Amino acid sequence: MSGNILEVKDLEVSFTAHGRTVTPVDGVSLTVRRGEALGIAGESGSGKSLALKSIIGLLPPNAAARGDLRYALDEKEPIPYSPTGVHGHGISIIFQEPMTALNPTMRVGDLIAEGPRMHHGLDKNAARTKAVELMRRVGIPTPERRAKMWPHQLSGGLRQRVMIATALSTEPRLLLCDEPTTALDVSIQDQILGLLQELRTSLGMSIIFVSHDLAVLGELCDRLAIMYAGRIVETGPTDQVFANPRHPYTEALMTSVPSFDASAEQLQGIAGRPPDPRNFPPGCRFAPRCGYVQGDCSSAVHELRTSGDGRATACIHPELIEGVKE
Amino acid sequence: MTLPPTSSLDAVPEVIEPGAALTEPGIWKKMPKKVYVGAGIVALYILIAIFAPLLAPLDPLEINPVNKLASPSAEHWLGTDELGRDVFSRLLYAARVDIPIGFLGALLPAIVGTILGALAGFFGRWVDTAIMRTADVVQAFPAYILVIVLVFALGQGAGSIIIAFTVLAWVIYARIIRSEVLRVKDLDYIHAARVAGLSRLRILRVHVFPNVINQTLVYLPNDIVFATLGLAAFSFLGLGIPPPTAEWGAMIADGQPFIRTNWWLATVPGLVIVGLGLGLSLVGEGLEERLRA
Amino acid sequence: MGRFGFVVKRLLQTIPMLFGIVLVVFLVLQITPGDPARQIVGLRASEAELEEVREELGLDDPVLVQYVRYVGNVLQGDLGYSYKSRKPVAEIIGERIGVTVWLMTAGLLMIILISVPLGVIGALRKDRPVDHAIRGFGLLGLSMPSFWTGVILLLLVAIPTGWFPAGGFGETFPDKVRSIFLPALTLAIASSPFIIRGLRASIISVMESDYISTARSIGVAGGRLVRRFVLRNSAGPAVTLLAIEMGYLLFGAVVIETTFALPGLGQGLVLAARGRDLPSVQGYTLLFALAVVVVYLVSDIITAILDPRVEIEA
Repeated sequence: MSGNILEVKDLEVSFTAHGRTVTPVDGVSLTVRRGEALGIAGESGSGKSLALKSIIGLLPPNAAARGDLRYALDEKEPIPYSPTGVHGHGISIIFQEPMTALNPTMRVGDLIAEGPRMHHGLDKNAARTKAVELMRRVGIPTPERRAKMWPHQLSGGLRQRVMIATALSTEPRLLLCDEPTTALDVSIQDQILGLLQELRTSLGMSIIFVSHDLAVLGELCDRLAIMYAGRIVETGPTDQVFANPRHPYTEALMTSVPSFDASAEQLQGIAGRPPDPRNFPPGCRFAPRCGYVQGDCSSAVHELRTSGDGRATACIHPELIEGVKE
Repeated sequence: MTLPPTSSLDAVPEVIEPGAALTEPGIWKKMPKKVYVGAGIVALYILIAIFAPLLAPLDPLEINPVNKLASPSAEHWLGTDELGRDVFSRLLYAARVDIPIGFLGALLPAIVGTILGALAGFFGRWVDTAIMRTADVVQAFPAYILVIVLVFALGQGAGSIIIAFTVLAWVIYARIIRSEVLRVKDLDYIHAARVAGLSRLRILRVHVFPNVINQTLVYLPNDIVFATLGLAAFSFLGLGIPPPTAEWGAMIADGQPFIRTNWWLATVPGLVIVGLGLGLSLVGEGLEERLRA
Repeated sequence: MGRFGFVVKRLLQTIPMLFGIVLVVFLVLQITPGDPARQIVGLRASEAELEEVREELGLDDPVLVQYVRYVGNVLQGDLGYSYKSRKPVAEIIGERIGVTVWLMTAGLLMIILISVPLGVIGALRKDRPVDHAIRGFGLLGLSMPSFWTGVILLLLVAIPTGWFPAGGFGETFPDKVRSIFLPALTLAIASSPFIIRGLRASIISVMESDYISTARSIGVAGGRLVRRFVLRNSAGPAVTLLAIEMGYLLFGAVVIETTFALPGLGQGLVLAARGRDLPSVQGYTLLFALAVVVVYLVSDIITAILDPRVEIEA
């Protein structure tokens, strides 16, 4: 596991209801290196958020996760996944909607102090001091005063900073970000992204950042994984993926980027809707919407295949896109 | 009430089957088992009420001072009460009082509330204001205390009780139906119907009622339980059905002084009420599961 | 506007409602058949005596005048005189109110003791056997008439053990506790199912919220999660539900006081209604309605204390 902080192999998340099973995350494998920021891009319903939540063990109770997950969060031996074992131990998560992610009946300082109290056994006052320190660290002005406020008394940007401070309170080595800027104004978005970037370099954290917005991912992430219909369809260094996509879906995502509107979860650039997890198409799941579709796309096995340059694609006809490009 | 197919399992992983409407073909075949169990129990009670004169071995009102407070025997299966009347026969005959009043005491408010709520929602303006302000006043009162006052004012008897329940309980239906109508009213097909030149009342009858009737049906079984328990309680208090008519609540009151010696006098009528209540509750829970998924 | 402002505003809102209640009580009993004067003087009295009483009570005045006089009297605490005992209704109420306050307090305490653990367990063990068992108990509790439950408790607990009196209200404090225990338990058995159901639903929806994920992600679990993150957020809806239940709870008190021969307001109302004692019925009804208004007020204030967001919405 040298150099990797997280290795995920063949992750599957499924729900069973009324005797039917759906598998919205269907065989996802990925690795995150120390200090690296990995971006996972995909539309709503691609399973990216569920994949993220299964990494920290926050799946809803009716979900079942399978697969091999290994963490190397401290300098010791890597540990295998257990549904509750990782809470607060080196992994933290921040959510999309900072209003609903903060306990409405708890003063924000007390919330941030929960982590230090649980993990470092700090007493009430020490934990409170630590909370104020963390609030200052994430750029909240007059943290002493704001620590005594309720979440609803703060602006959206400050709430997200409180969320980040809460996540940092357990001193994570890996920070999971579930579209943390989507619900914010564009100017606030940039501030939060800047803060995350700064925290990552100064604390040496790894980050997994999930978003439907390639522009946001481009600002922060070293590497990208593109997810479609429960599977990763392409991975590679961010600039190379941007410059030269090897999967038609990635290309389609990029052409739809100009919609900077944060609320537009649906990607206007691509015809059709993402497939229903109850009824995934056979073969390549993007084939029904793909402009380059060939006769064998619906039958062949579409494994993610690695090429020598650190990139991988699941498309069996990547030459078609490159042909268009050149 | 159909939801769009869920493409995003991230958001609502649990919603797989949308709720169904009673008008949907075959829906009765897909009802949970408890609906059938409950309906079976209720049907049994209704049959007993209908055929009480054939089933009852003796006259429920016949007094026999010589043989009062008798223990159960071959002749008197549940013994006799303090006036020597046959308890088993009274128990059967009481079904002819409790069941019709319980059902009417729930049906009438449902009908009145549905109509008023639909009118309020559909016509809006002063109709809405008048109906809903009246509802507010009724709800400001502690529910059954209002029934006591109304029965006091109207005089004891079945009619007063049913009227009092109606005055009390229509409000819940009116509120539910009103909000349903407001929701349904904005849907496209209603607009389409307006354009097609249908009269307002016809729109109400053809397009709105089938959609809102589900909501009423889910509440109805529970309200029948309330009405039946309410009637029994009022009779127990001596404010409901006047003697000598056999009624379960009144029988419990009559039997209470003798619980040390003739304990079955007060307990058996209660068991009979519990059985009916459980049957109706099962139907209510099952309908709710199916129609509000 | 701060918390204090919210309370004041809420207090002011109850005033028109109180007037409405007095009006309805007045009007409903206005349509009651029978001649109050005849009730007082009895059937053998002469027409002259009857007229004298009518004059004294102002029964020949226009309805509006009678209403204004009634409101004035109520505001001064004068609820009229009982037809039966000839005592002031306010005095009778004063004698009986203590028992009912005892019953309601003990009943509420037991409801909370029963509902909170069962609601929490049902929600946290959703769809497991223990949850089904709790829901089954609820269904049974809802189907049992409370007066019958009371009779069953007398039969199965009071009589065999001899620990509790079969009726009446004790004089000394221990006797009071003993005589209120079974009535309060009866009240709790009848009302807990609603509260358990509401609390369970409320906790389940809280457990699905994002801030619970946040708490779990930083390692908060078990009892600490329930205490610090779940309970306060789900208590608000349960308190509101309890307040809505209050009307039924008061009726429960009426029935249960009669079952256990407790000389409280409920028993008083039943006796007054049976005896067609109009001023007493009016007095009790007003008091019960007032109690509900006060309970709604208190529940709103508790909700506001529990939920810091209320002050900005007020």
